[in-house]
Amino acid sequence: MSVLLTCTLLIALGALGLWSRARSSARSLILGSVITAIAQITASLIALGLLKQLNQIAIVLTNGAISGFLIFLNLKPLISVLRKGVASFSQELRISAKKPVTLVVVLGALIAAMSLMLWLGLILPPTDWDGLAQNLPMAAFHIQKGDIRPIETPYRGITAYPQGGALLIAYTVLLSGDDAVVDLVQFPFWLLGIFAAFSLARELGTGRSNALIGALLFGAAPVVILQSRAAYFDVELAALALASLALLLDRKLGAAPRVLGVGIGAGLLMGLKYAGLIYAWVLLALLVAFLVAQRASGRVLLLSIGAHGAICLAIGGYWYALNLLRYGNPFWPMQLQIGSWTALPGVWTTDSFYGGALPTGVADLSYPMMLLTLWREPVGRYAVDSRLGGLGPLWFAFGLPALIFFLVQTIRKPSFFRWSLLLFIFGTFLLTPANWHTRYVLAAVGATGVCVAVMLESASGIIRQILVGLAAILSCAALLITPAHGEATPTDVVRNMQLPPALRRTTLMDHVPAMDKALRWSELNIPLKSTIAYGWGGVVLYPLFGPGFQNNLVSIESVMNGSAMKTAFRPHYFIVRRGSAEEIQARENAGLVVVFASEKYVVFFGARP
Amino acid sequence: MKQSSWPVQAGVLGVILALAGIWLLTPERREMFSYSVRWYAALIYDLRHLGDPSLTLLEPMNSGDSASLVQFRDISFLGCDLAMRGAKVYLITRWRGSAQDAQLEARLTFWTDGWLLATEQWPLDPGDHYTEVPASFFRGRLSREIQLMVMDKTAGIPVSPTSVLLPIRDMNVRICN
Repeated sequence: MSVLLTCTLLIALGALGLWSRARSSARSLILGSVITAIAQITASLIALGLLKQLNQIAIVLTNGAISGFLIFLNLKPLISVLRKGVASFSQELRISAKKPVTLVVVLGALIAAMSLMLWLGLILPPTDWDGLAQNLPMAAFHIQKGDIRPIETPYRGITAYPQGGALLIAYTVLLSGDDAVVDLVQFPFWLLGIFAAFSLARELGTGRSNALIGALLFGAAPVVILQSRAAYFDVELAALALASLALLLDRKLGAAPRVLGVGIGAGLLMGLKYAGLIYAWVLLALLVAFLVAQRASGRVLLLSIGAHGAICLAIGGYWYALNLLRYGNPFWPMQLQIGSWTALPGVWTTDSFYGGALPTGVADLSYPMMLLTLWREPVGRYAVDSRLGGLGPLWFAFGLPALIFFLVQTIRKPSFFRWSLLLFIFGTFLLTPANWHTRYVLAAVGATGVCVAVMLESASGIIRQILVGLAAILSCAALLITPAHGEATPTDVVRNMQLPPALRRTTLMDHVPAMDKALRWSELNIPLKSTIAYGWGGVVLYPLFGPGFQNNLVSIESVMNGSAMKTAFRPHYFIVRRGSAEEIQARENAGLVVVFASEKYVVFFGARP
Repeated sequence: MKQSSWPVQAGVLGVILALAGIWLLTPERREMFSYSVRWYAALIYDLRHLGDPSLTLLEPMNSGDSASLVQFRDISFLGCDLAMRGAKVYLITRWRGSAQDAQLEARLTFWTDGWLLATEQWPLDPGDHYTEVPASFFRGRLSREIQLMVMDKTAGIPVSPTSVLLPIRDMNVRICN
């Protein structure tokens, strides 16, 4: 863990050194440094992966050298910035202590919720579906192979989706030496998103208290709180998008750092998820609009667009280039369909992918009614991928009125900043497929927090007090209710707290919905360094890698077509979904013996390691 | 920032209060609040009673789903599981067979960083056998290993096939022949 913390601190200092040379506000200095640090981690892992050197020593040496060089090069401005930072932080603390009680209470609830989520993240193992089935296996496969070549698997998401998020998971695993903190990869992005929304609101002239309450539209959204300890990428995406927007709209920021910061942010967004492309394009459009509004020359405009595109492609383009080479479609397995014309052939369109994903009782409603129903949250418990809600009470009560209020104000008194914010909110929301899914629209929700801050700022007297008080109550409610809504019961939490860390992995495997007792059995009984063949059809892969990723996973498909035989050796164990074609095939094979069978999975023994 | 007129402010307040009311009065809200309150109350209660053995109770899985991994004469080894009672962690070894084989006994040895920590030996019976894992086992930094052997009592030698359970660094039991 100390290697992870030291290396990350060094990278952050190097990035801060670079940004300390830029003309910017203190807020942009922090946002720019964070984005640059994440980009350095991602880019270094891509480069090392291409060189087949994805290991702890190479990561530490590479990033140590880059950051050491950056610190050495920018030592004077860095020291000056750090001195100023310490002084202004203590001043901020003194100011905050004199703030109204509501703000102190809200801050207290936020700190309590964050502390609880951090603690839960440290003692509980991963339990959520997308993380176990897709995001964590991506990282595990790359760590095992030491490179970032495409993973041979029938799981299309694992083999073809952008994997920038998985590289951040791999970074924490490789540097900490174990997988104890893989669920906390998104935790820092919770803070980043709040700070970015706060910065945007401050940039628009709102006071600290209102800016913070506005930022809690993102920070107190239940899906954000729960995802802060889940190996998903939605909070990362939203926080990076908000941070990039805040850099773009900082009036004090110089031209070069603005293009650099927004380009880096957009590149990271591209590399996280396909949906990140939407944000990259919207940010590019806003950057161009900003330059045009600034009356930049044609040459500057072209140079800026070129630099933005180059940075984007360097950080996030690799995954798209791979898909283009392998499938002729950079977005594979997504199919690009324009009317009846298939522009890029794939396996599914967004319509077919999300068809039937809407909860029953909601699917038949008109689109506006469907959104209102989902945002009203007719659900008793939140989850990391909540479909019936997840944005919390602050969004439902304050978000929509504030958005309309802000829109009317902007029409009456237009400004570039205000229109840019609205374009970001509506543009990203409307372009996002399945935008009824609350976890996909967190950036738009976070940006709407600025509208809330402006609305609160525009109120006065008793009305302002009521509004701030109500917002504080709803924020505190969401912040305090939500952490209890995970998979673990209080007894699970207390038991895991007392268990030796080595035993925590298996404790929830047999009773959370995403997993099954066959996975616990496999964890406890399959010898390390075994080769395990898994069937296509929903086998959760992550637990099968073993605690130190010692097991070698191959798909049954690759065993059947012989490619696994060439690269590995005969699988020792086979795990398949019950009732699948692979189970029938395995049962017909005389060489395989059933060693464990649950309702979901069957484990076969093939040969001794 | 310029403040809005009173009617606008009042209108905004009215809409927000109405929406907040709708959210709060949604029927599922009662379940949401009560679930969280119960969860925190249980957590606080459990934290105050940390010494209670029921709070470290880790139940083993039902052995009914397991099949034979290794055969030792008439007795099959079905694999391992974990349990926790109080502060003690138990390794469960599972056996199935028609009857007790008087000639066979199992021997479990715990090793940490190359040092022998503890040994347990017992006559081999069908069913689950609980062996307490020494607390110092988890403090091993370089390696942790549990070895299982089935012995012939009269000959004093391991019965073929010898099973060796190999946990690496995390105590998780591994079977290796």
